[in-house]
Amino acid sequence: MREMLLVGRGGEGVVIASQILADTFARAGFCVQSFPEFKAERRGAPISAFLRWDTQPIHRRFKLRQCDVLVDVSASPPSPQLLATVRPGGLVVLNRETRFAHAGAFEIARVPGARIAQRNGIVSSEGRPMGNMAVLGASVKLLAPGALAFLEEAIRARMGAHGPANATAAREGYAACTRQRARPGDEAVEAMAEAKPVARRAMFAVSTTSSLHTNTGAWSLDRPVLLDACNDCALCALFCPEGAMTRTDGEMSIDYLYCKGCGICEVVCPVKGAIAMEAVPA
Amino acid sequence: MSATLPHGRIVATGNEAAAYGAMLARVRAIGCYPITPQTLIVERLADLVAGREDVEYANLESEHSMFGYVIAAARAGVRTFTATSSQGLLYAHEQLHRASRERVPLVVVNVNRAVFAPWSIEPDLTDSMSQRDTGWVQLYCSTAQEVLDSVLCAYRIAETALLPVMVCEEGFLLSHTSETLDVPDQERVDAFIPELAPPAEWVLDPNVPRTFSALPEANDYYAFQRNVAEALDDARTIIARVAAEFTAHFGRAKVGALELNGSPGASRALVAIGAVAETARELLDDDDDLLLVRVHAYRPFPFDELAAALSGASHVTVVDRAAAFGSYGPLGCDVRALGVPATNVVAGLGGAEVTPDTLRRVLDRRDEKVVYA
Repeated sequence: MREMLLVGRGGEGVVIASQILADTFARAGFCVQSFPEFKAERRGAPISAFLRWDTQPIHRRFKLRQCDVLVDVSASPPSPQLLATVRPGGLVVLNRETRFAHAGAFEIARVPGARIAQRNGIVSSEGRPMGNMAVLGASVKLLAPGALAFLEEAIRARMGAHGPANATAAREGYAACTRQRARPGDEAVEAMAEAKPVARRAMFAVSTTSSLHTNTGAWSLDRPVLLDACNDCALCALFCPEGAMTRTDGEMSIDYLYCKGCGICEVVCPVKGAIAMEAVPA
Repeated sequence: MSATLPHGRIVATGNEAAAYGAMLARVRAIGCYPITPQTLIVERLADLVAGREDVEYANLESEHSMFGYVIAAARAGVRTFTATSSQGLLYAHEQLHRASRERVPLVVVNVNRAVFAPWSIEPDLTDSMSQRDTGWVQLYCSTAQEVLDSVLCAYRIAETALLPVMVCEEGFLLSHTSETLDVPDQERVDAFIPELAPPAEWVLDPNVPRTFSALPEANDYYAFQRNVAEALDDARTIIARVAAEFTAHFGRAKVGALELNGSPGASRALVAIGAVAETARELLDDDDDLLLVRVHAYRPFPFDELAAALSGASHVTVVDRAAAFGSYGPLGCDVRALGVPATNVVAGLGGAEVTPDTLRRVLDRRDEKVVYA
C-alpha cells in the first residue's frame, strides 16, 4: 500500500485532485481510498487530502500522519514540518517553476502548474491559475506512467464542460514534470519520528485567549488593495467573510491581520479598478 | 434538468452511495436539512431529482420538522428518505420514538459525528448509539459499498417489519472517502424492492378522517409498546433473510447481523463496529489466534449469533467508539449482557485515531471496568 498526502489552500482544488487521482488509480486496477481532512476550511485556509492505493483491498480507516508521496498543489514552498512527513525513499511533487533548494531522504519533482493553467484558461473565480491538473499529470507520470489515459478519462468524467481544458493541462503537466537532482548547499530536511497524538486533560473546553489573537491574515497568498477609484461605498464590507473591510469616518480600510485574501471583495466591487489583488509581500 | 444516476463500477464516497441507494429504491419524498458531514447526501439528491415531478424534495426548517415530514409522507403511502447527523439526530429525538411506535417504515442515513460539547465534526458513534432504545433497526457500515447495499436492504427490512431503519456510516472515514463502488442497474433493484404496499388502515385519506395515536387506556398503551418490542425482536429473522436474498440476487455478499474474520477457533476475540472493525482486519496479517467480530446490525442486537461466534474465545475485547457515561460502552453493555466478561475499551471518540497499534495495545488489556483508552 502507498499513502499520499495532498496539500494546498481552500479553493485550489486539492480535494477534487485527490478524488480524480483515486478514480485514475481505480481505472488502472488499483484498490483506492481518498478522503479530505475536514476542518472549518474556507477559501484560502490550509487544506489537505489523503489517498491510499494498493493492489490488495484497503481496510485501514484513519488519517495519514506520514506519507510516501507529498503533493503540494499550492505555489508556496512546503514547510519543513510538511516535508518531514515524507517517509524515507518517498517523493515530493511541487507546483513550481524554479528549483526547490531542499534535500532529504526523498526525491523532489516539480511542474510549472500555474503557467500551464494560465495557458489553458483554468483559473479560479478570482482569476488565480489552478495548478491542480498539471500537478495530477506530473504525479501520474512519476507514480503510474502508463495511467495517463485513465487520468484523462477521470478528469473528463468529473469536470463536465471543463473536461477537455483540464485534461490538456494534466497532459502538459505530465510532459513538463522534471525530477530534481540534489546539489551541495541544499537545506537538509530530517524525517519526522512517528508522532504520537497528545491528548490534553482539562476540565473545561475554554480557551485562554480571544480568537482575536488568531491572525488568519497569515493564511493568505494574495491580498486586496484599495485603489484611488474606490468610492468608499462599503459594499465589500457586507460580503467580506472576515469583517476585514471597514469604513471609518467615510473611508474604507482593510485589516490585513484577518484578511485571508479570498478575493470576494474584488468580485463584488461595483467600481472598475477600485480593488486589485496583489501577492502578499514576503 | 436532473443529473443521471451512475451505474456500474465507479469511484464514489459513502455519502454518494447513500444518495444513489435512495434513488435506486425509487423514493418519492425526501426531507432535507443540512448538517456536516451529511450535507453531501441531500446535495447529491437535489442534483438527481431537479426538475422531476414524481419526487418531492422538501427543505425543512429543522431536523425535528424533517422527521415529522417523512413520517407524514410515509403515512400518505409513499416511500421516503432522509439523512442527518449528530446534533440533528439528537434534535429529532422525540420523533424517533414516535416513528417506531407508529410503525412507520422510514429509512434514514445517519452520518456519525461526535456530540457537542465541545464542538467536533469528527466521527464517533455516540449520536446514533444514544438512540439505541428508540425502537429502530440500526445497521452500521464499514465501506461505501455496504452503505449503498444496506440502504437497499433497509427498505425491504423496514417495509416488512413496519419499523424505521437507520443506516449509519462514520463521518469522513466513510462519508467523504472516495472508493470503488458498484452501483446496480435500476431494473435489478426494482426486482429486489417491490413497490411499497403500506397497510391500508394507516394510509392517510382525506375522505376517511380518523385519529392517529390518540390517548389509549393504560393497558392498551402497554400492548402497543409490547408490539414494538416483538416486532424489533422479529426483525432479526428479516435482516438475515433480506441479506441472504440480496447476496443471491446481486451476486455480492451482504452481511446480515455479524461479519466474522480471522480464526473461528481463536482464543482471543475482538468485537467492534464500523471503521474500527474494518481497520482491525490489518491485525489478521500477523495474528493467527484472533477472531474479529464486526457488528453490522446493532439493533435488534444479535445475541444468539454473537454468543455462537464467541463460544470458543477465552478472552473477549469489545471496542466501543461511543460514550455511554456511567456504565460500559453501548456495545460493551450488550456483550456483557450475554454473560461474557469482556474487557470494554472506549476509543476513537471525536475522531481520535484508532490504528492497528492502538488495537494491539487494547487486546493486551484485562480490565473489569470500562476503560477510556
